[in-house]
Amino acid sequence: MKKLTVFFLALTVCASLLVGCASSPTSSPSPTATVSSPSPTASSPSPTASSPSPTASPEAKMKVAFLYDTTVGDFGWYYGHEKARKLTQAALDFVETSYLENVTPGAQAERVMTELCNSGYSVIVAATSGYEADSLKVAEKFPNVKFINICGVTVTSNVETCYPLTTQIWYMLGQIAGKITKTNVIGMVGAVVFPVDLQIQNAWLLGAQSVNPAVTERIIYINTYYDPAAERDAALALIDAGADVIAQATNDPAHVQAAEEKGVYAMSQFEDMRQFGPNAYVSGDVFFWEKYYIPTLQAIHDGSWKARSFWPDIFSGVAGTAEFGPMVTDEMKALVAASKEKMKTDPEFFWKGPIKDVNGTVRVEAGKQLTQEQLLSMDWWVQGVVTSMKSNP
Amino acid sequence: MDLRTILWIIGMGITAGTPLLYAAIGEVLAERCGVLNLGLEGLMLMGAITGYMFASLTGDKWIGILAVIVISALLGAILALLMVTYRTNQVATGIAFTIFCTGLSALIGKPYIGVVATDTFKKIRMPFLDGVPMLKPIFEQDILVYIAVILCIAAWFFVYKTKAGLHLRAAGDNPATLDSLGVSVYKVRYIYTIVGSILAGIAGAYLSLAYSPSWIEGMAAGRGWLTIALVNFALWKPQNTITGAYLFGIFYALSYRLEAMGIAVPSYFLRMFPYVLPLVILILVSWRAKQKGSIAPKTLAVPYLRGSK
Amino acid sequence: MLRIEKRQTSQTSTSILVGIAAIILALAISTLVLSIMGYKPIEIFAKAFGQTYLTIPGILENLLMLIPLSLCALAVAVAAKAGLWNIGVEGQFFAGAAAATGVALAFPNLPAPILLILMFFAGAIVAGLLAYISVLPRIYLGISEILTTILMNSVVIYFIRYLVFDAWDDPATVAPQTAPFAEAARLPILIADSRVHIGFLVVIGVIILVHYFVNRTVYGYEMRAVGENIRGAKYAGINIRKYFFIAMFLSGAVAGVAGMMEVSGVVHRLQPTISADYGFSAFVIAWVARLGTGAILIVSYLFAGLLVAGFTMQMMGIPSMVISMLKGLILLLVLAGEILTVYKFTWTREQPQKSRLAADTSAAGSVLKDSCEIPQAAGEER
Repeated sequence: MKKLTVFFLALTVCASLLVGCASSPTSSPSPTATVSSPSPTASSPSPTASSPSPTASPEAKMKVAFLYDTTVGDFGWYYGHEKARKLTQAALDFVETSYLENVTPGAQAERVMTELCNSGYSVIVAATSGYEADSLKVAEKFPNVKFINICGVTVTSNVETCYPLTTQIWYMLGQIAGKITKTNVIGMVGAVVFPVDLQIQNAWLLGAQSVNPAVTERIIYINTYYDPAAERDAALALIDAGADVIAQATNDPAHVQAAEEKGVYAMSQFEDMRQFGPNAYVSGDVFFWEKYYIPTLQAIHDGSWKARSFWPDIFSGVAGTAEFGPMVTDEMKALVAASKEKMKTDPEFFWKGPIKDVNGTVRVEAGKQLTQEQLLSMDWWVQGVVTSMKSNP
Repeated sequence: MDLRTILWIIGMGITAGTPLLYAAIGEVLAERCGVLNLGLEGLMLMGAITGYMFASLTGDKWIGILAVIVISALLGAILALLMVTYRTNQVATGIAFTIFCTGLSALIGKPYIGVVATDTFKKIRMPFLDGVPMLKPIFEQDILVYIAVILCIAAWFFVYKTKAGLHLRAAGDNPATLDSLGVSVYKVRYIYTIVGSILAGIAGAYLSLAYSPSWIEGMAAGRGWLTIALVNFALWKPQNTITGAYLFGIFYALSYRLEAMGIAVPSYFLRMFPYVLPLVILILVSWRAKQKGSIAPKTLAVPYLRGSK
Repeated sequence: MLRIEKRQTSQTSTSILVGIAAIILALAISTLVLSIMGYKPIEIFAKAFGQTYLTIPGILENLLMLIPLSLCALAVAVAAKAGLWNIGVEGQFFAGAAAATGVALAFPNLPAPILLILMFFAGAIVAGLLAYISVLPRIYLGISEILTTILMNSVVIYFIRYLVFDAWDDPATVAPQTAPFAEAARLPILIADSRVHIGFLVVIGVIILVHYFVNRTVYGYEMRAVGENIRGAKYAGINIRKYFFIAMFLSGAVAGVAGMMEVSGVVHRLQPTISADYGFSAFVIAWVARLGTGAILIVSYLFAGLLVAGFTMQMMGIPSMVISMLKGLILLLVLAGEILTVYKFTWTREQPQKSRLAADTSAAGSVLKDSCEIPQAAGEER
């Protein structure tokens, strides 16, 4: 019996020892910051379905939930959304936002969304394309709840989609990469074979080839959006295979660290990752989701909202280019500026033919341009990509 | 594939195999004395977060390692208490412990995601190799890689050449005899469960402080389970673990390097490699070993109860 | 001096008490940990569990979650009855789901009953075969099935990725998933206005069948004999290999049925995220239920509530990992508490004498030549 007690004590001591240390980190977000409503967590209104309506005050807040399928601490995709959520919360006093992380798409997401709808949430932001099937299902049952599907495709009366055109940015970054590379090999740590990612990978290479036709792009797919160790291994393998500009489709900065260590260049998606490799960091795309969330939620609140398929481009302010590193010359800057000027009138000119895929088949004939549908179902790589994945003939 | 690439793959394989090597040495010791510690995955995760937490709090990686040793020893003591004293089912205990640690490590690690640790283990520069840069990927490793090699040799010496090593083996093969010699089987099993846990913790710390300096949830990514397989195909001999661990690491590195070359195998199948390979080796090694007679510790996973019938 | 003796009979009442005590203690420890971290766990636990166990939508969600959990736990238990550790339930769950998806996508025009029956058997057989393959190395080479089943999990999951990203990818969406199933391939809803599907009845049916098979047939009797005492079974002339195959195939098939029902009843397409770590949850459930078929149903319901409440807690600000911690802790405490049900404690004054050091290990230490007899049998300790 004594030992049983000792066991429990040891377990508790062990846990609390660690937890005690964990609760006082030097520079990190507070662990209690999940619900950043003005009212403290403890006294927040009960989200039960049965909350009677008479108690709701006339100026009841608009409840908005953000769903993430991994963690907000990734320093990538969800980190950006979380930053925007906080800014949105600060900017709009009529909303009350909360977020849920590690919600897996499928049965769990459907369960969580249904519960949110039952708990009086009026807007649900599903922050990854994986949720689309679930949110469409739930949206049908709750026509009064608004859904925002990031990177979704289907629009209904209460489901809006938002799909930033980062291909524009990656075409311009490709131009820089094409000029800056010495080995004529650029490397991409891919996550999974997704049309969204393929567009970026192709646009990047097209940009590079537009200034330097000899460039090839090697891609390793690590099969997940979040695994820094694998990302690092993949980046090192790419560097060993000759790549001297490394970018990533995954959600974190491990590839920048690897590039810094090996003395090659790095570009990044989603966040400015300069701090992880000040000498390696060239540029990347950065998101300002709040510039989309704030007007959208305002419109929902005012009643002027109508579901749409929104494609914010580089001039919308939602997505932009991170500040250039010192290695970017004036010549490269001029190239980028010229492309940007061209995009004002012809936003996606780089998808114009002729474009060949890795097998040499002509995918876009001269004088034609890829349509939105073709882009959304992109499953091929442009000529010059080296990958072990098959290109559908 | 040229020589330079092959040497690069071996070098990266050594780095990738090192966490497995640490954990495998510890697990060999534990299993040789009769304790099947399936909590490795959990111990690795706790080691990874403890090391990262203390290294980023204090700014000193060695304090991180020290903290890992202390916490892992405590966790190991809990495991030993359950498996040796309470004679709980060792498989169920190990798995329950791993589930518990997965949750606990994620919980306490939450504030440390995205935090950059200032002091981590870096590769040692070896200027005398400047003449043969090809060898640099193999020999320019961090200090923990070299410590692991030394530990492996030391474990071999300890198990086969010392009296304590004899007691260790006896505790696994013939505990009753050991007990009748006046050596406490419980004590021996406690010690090596704790030692094994500490080494598993260091394996985890290697991941978060040297391999990819950061903390993410579940970053052991199945390495704990692979280690159990590795111990099996090392035939419970400490000197064999180094071959097994590096072999695994090399195939792991190879899968990435081949993809960078554009080999016509979709990456899903390349990623299966590190899991299929241990199975294949395990089958080959066991098939050979079967012809020579079994060499598993005789009372592996059998709790010892003094004086009971 | 504390003396520990094995009880002659194990006490069910003590077992239940230990289980309840373990759950309360686990909750208490989690509360403590969370309080130290600066959360307010007590009211959140109360609210979340109240909502999950005491409201109609909560109960319905629990029933839905119970379907895969109880079948997976049953899969663990069936293997354990024959002394085998099936840690590969997660992989077999996915294999069953993939096989059923294959059938659903290949024959969308078949009438519903035929298609569903085909999917059911495809899921069961493919997953059963996967489990069967995993036990081959144990039978012929003495490689522990713990290792093969765990490693197979990862292999299967990468294969599922290949299916959803490549081979069976739905070109109409950008998410990694197959096309949605035809109406005929979807299990009908059992309770109106909820997601609880007909699979709930299948669960009850499968549990009764497995219970009957294990406890009332000669096969089941001999299978348990293998699990309880492999040497005795051998001397009694029981074909151990045969029972390893039967147990493992049955175990895999049950897990495969769970996978089939998850895709056919809930998700209506194959996704790489259909399992919320059911494999390990099932392991915990099976062991907390002490491998009893009826007890599995009750414990599954409790754990389903725990998982569902986890999402509610998240909405109130508690991180999701607490649930994983709680699961592990409950099982650890149940195992620690087992000592109360299996052993008897008495205090004596005298010092232990050397003469009493007879070895219980003499049995285990003796002949272990046969490769089937790796001393890792699940039933060994019990």
